[in-house]
Amino acid sequence: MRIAAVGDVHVGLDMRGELRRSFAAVADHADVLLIAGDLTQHGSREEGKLLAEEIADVGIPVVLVLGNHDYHQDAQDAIRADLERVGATVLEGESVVLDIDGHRLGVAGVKGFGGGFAGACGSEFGELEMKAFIRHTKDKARQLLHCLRALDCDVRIALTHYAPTKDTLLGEKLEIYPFLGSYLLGEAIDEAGGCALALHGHAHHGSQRGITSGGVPVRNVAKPLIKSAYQIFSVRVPAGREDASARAALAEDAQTPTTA
Amino acid sequence: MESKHLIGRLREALATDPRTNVLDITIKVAGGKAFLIGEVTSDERRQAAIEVAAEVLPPDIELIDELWIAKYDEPGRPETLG
Repeated sequence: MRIAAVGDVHVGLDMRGELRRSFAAVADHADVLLIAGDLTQHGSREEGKLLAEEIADVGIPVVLVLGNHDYHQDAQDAIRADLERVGATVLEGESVVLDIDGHRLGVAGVKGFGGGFAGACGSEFGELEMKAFIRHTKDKARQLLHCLRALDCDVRIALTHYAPTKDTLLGEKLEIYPFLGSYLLGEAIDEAGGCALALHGHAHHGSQRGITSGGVPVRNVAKPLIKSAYQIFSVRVPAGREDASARAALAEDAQTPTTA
Repeated sequence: MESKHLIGRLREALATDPRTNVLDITIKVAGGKAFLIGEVTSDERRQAAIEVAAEVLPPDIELIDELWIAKYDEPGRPETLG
C-alpha cells in the first residue's frame, strides 16, 4: 500500500492554488493521502473552504485530522463539514477502513494533545486548568486506543497532529516538548497493538523518524520539516493478512452473481 | 526592556495577532537588534510578521528581517516500511 502523508499545510487565503498544484500528481504516487492536522493557518471557515476546494480533485481518498490551528476561531465543525462535503474523511477519535486493491487499510485518527514525555510530563493534579489540560490529553489518548482496537483491517495506521514520541521532536527546544505531544498517545498506539505506522505533524523543527516504546515506527510529516509536498510510505501487507485478503476476495467473487 | 521579556512579547504577538497566528518564527534579540528568523510560505506572511513585530518593538530596537519564503511542490523520497 502506498500512503502519501503531510501535515501542517497551514492553508491561508494567500495560498489559493498552491495545494492543488502540490497534490496534482499524488494519485500517481499513492493510494491514499493522509493529512496530519494544522490544515489552516488562522482556523477560519474561509480557509477550510479553500482547502476543501484544493483537495476536491486529488483522485484518491483523503483522510485528515485537525490540528491546534484549526481550533483557533472555534470553526472546527464548519471546517470539518466543508472537507466532508468534498468527500474527504475527517477523523477525531474515529477510524476508517479503505479498500486498496483488495486489502484493507485502517486509519485511526485523533488530534491528540500535549502533556510531555516520560520523566517530564504534566499530571492531572492541582489547579482546575492543569487538570483540564491533562484530562484532555487522556481523553484523546483513550479515543485513539479505542478506535485503533476497533479496526478490522490488514494494515493499521495511527494519524495524529501531536507527537506520540519525543524521538520526532529532536531539534525542537526541550522546553516546549510538553506542548508538542504526549507519551499517552504513544502508549495508546502500543497498547492497541498491530500498528504498522504512526504519523503526526505539529513539530516543524523536529525530526522525521522515531519509534514508540513498543516498536511502532513514527514519522513526523510536518511540511516545513519534510520540505516536500508530501512523503510517500510503502507499507507491506503482512503475509498472513495477504492470504486472508485474497481468500476473502475469492469468496466474495464466488458469491457475486455473474451476468452474461 | 530585558531582551528575554521582549522575545516573549514578540512571540505572543506573532502567535495571537490575527494577521499572523504564527508560532514557528525564531526570535533573537542581541546588540540592540531583534531578529525574525525562519521560513514562511508567502510574501504576505512575511510582511505581516514584520508589521506585527514592529508594533511591539521599542523604538530603540532595530528589526532585522531574516525570513525567507519557501514552497514545496515535489514529493519526498519514498520509504518502504514493514
